[in-house]
Amino acid sequence: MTTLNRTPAKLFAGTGLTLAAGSALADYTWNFPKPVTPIGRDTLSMHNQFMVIITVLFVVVFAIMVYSMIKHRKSTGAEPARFSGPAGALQWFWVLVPFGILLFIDFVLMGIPAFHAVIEMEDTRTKADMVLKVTGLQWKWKYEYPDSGIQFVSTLTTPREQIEGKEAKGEHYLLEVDNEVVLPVGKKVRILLTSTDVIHTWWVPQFGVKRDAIPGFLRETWVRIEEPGVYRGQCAELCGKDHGFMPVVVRAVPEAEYAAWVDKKKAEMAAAAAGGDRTWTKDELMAAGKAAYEKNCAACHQPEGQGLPPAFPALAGSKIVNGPLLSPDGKLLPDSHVDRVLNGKTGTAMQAFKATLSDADLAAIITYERNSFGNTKGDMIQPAQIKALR
Amino acid sequence: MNTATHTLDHHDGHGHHPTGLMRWLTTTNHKDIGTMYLTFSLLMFFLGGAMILGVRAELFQPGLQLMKPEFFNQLIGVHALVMIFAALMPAATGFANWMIPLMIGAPDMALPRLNNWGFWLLPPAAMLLTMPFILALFGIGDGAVATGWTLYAPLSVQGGIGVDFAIFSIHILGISSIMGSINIIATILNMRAPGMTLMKMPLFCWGWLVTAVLLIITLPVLAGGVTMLLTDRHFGTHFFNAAGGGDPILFQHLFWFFGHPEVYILLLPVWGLMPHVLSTFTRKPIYGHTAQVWSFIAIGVLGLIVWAHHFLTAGLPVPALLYFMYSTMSISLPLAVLFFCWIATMWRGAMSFETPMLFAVGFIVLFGIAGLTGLVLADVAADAQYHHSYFVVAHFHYALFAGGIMGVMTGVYYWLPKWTGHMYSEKLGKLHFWLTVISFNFTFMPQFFLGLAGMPRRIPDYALQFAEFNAISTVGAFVLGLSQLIFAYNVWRCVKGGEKASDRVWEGTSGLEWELSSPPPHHSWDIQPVIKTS
Amino acid sequence: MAITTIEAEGVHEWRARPNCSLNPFARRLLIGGVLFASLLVSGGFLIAGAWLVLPFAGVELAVLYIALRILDRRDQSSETVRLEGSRLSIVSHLPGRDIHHDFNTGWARLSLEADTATGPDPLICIRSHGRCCQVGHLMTPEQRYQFYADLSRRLRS
Repeated sequence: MTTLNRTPAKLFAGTGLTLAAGSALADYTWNFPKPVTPIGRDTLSMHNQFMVIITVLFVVVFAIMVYSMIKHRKSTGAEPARFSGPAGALQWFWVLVPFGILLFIDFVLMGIPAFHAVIEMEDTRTKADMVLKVTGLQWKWKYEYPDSGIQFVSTLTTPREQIEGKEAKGEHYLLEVDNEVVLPVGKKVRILLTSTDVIHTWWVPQFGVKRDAIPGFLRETWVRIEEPGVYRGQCAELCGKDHGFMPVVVRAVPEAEYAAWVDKKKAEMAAAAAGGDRTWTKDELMAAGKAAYEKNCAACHQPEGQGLPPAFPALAGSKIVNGPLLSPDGKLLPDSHVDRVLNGKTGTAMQAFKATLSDADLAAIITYERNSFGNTKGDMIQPAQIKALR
Repeated sequence: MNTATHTLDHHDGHGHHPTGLMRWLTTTNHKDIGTMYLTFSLLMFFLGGAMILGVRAELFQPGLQLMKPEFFNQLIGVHALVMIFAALMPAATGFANWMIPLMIGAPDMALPRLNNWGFWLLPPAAMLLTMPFILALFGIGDGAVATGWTLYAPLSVQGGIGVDFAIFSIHILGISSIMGSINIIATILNMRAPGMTLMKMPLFCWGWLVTAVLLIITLPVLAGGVTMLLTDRHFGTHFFNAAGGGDPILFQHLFWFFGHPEVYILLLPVWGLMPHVLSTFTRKPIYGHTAQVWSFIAIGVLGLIVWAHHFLTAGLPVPALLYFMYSTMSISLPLAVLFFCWIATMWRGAMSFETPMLFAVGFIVLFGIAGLTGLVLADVAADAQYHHSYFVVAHFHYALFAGGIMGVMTGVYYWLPKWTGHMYSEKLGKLHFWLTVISFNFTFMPQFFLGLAGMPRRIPDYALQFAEFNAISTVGAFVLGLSQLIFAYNVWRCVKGGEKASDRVWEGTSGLEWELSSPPPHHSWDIQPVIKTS
Repeated sequence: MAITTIEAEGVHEWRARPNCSLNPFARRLLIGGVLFASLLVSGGFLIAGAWLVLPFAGVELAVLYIALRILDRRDQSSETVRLEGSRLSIVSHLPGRDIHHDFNTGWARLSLEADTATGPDPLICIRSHGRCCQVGHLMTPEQRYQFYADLSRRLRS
């Protein structure tokens, strides 16, 4: 199964079936993509072994059946036998032998390696070098590095035009993000998973791990990436509208490079925090707001703010967006525009964005929404005010 | 083995049966109700098929061409619910209604009026399930249930009115199934002809008996689960909400405690039917009747205790993982008994390959693939790679299309001459078989490789490396879907007329049902046959 | 639906009983088994916090019990028609009613009459002095015709 070359696929594809026009076809594979973690390697070799076992079983069993179908035909003058069960010790012996073999296959040949693989896979804590916390959100991933305090959200960057077929699709179509997770090579990374809304599943095929991110609960798994490179995967549990559009991209780098990345990321975060303290002009807020809106809000509320009612209400002309900004003494009004953006609405896909976005982004988005799509409130909110409302 | 001591000369036409629509609305005749179940099932089969062809068309090429992701999600979920609850289960119930009384020598089902209600609950349930699609066209709601058929919380708590419609539909379908099950249990246990002991009872009846018991044990769990979902959605409970002290995984336990036995609920009637077909076309007695009965029971029992292998990636504790892995693997043993008996029934027979036999052989081979891949899926570590991927999609379509639907088609071709009194077109039947088998493999074999390559299921758009296999699969799916029109035409032709079928229909038949005329009189076995003890 | 006929000196008796292959022991075993399994399952889920499974299981078991109870009562039924000299006595034990009628063969009139409550097929009605008694609930339509022919012939002779 592993050694089959790619010719049959091309043959199939050649028989008049349309290929994705002009797309750069990546390596075609009849098996798991090349594993880069100990678990991934184990899983692949176990899978290969099992595939051989079941292929042999399949061939042997159905060879007997096909032999019978050729040999025992009415048209060749075969006379039907009358037996309806095993008779005599010898026949019983031959009846029981296949079940003995099957027991051996189930609980020894497959059962023992499977047992060891489970134990290895679930051993998340022994000698873990670092922790990565992964939070699933509709429809992006948030990553936190508790050791260094780094956190960021990772969102799909494939342009809408490519998805809608108005542009040629890029090499990593649907498998590219703005912020890749960076992990050091050769370290055991304990991955903690949770979610803020619905169940997501974090999956990178080349790591051989897949684990659900469940709201309100912490699940864990681990990886030790053995080769530097970029590894791509996807959310694997149906999580709503854009389930197909929340990829996972992990960049594995040597340790020194990882340390440099950590420093750079820390500096970026410090700069962003500083941005929250100064006073912004309205133009700055509108420009930043447009960018942040398109990244975080447009999937549901649409680029032009028309929404997808009834699940995703329109922002253009919305009562909430066009309502008052804050109470006269600068406090949060319940169910106001600011409240919705910061705290979300329970029971819907509208999440509490204060958990994932910076003060500056939140202020920019709110300002942008109030002054776009035909909304002309004219007011704005400063990052510092958001900080005070948290 | 089973021989009736006498058959009656039947004179039909006494009594005052209502005609037209009223006949079908009020009928308590098991044959009429069986026909209604089967007709309904065929219609729903095409409805569910049309939905999935929409999905396959969207997946033909990367990119979104035909539909929005929201609509895509609705189609996949409703496709599954329609196929499972409105196509496969009613088909099996239709078989049961038609054949169980004929096979056990009973004049009708034990509770005929309950039988009528059981059927007439189905059309409203199917309407509830699909109505949100239509309501959405008029701007009401946001379409049908978009959570997949598994309705996992909290996604389903968040969903629109489609989820409520699905919950009510599932309740009604459940009530219908319970009525059917109780009726079948009562009929099989209480209405057997004198002399037909349980161990002499035909295997089809045994398969259905185990199915009915499984339904009775598991359906309250599903009903409870979806009701809890409903209260979470509208009445402020927190069964599945961690913030309120609940647990989303509890829903998965509830769902799959029903969902796994459901697979056997769909397959047991087919496994029961297979030996009859094989025995007929090999002209040889069924091999291992008793062994198959015990296998059915063993599969039923094991089916109740392996449910969590459907969510092995949800983070269960290690002992639970090991338990569910080994218990799942052990299902291979009773299943192997069935395969052994099927092949041993064929061994040294005198086979001929009419359409039902072709479908039976196709069923055995393709269902074998489902069984073997299922064995691999049980392995927790490898499952981490297969789970939620197209590998699983391919696996369960080998089980439920090749196992379920092709099994039902075996039964239809096998019994259709008995039901209608006419032979279907053998030429069309064979054409249908070969087109189905070839296009089925073209559709689903590539999906195994897609899954291995890492394509998650339930995504409306995919990365470029999955393009070739998806294109093949889509072409296969359209051929598969269109070839089923041959089946519908063949059935329709056969109902309308054709070559007369003899009472025994096939050369190698045995059993009470073949001693009646083809078609059987409206009231059959008015006087019960007596089974000789041999 | 079995009819046994007893023929003795001057006496002719027909007794119709429903055929039932489920004996009371097996019925109890079935109910007990399903009850045990259902309680185990819903009890387990009750402990896990899903108490709503239990009421559904309860309702369903009640329906199963009622269905088997209906069968049970149907199985206890019998219809006996006894012809002894000039006396025609009818004893029927049917669910919800026990009937005992004596007729004089000279006055008894037989007819086949459909009753909408029992389905499209007619029952045998025996009338005399304004009283009416229906027989044939436990017979199949075929058996009713045979019995009707048989009884009419004997009454005439």
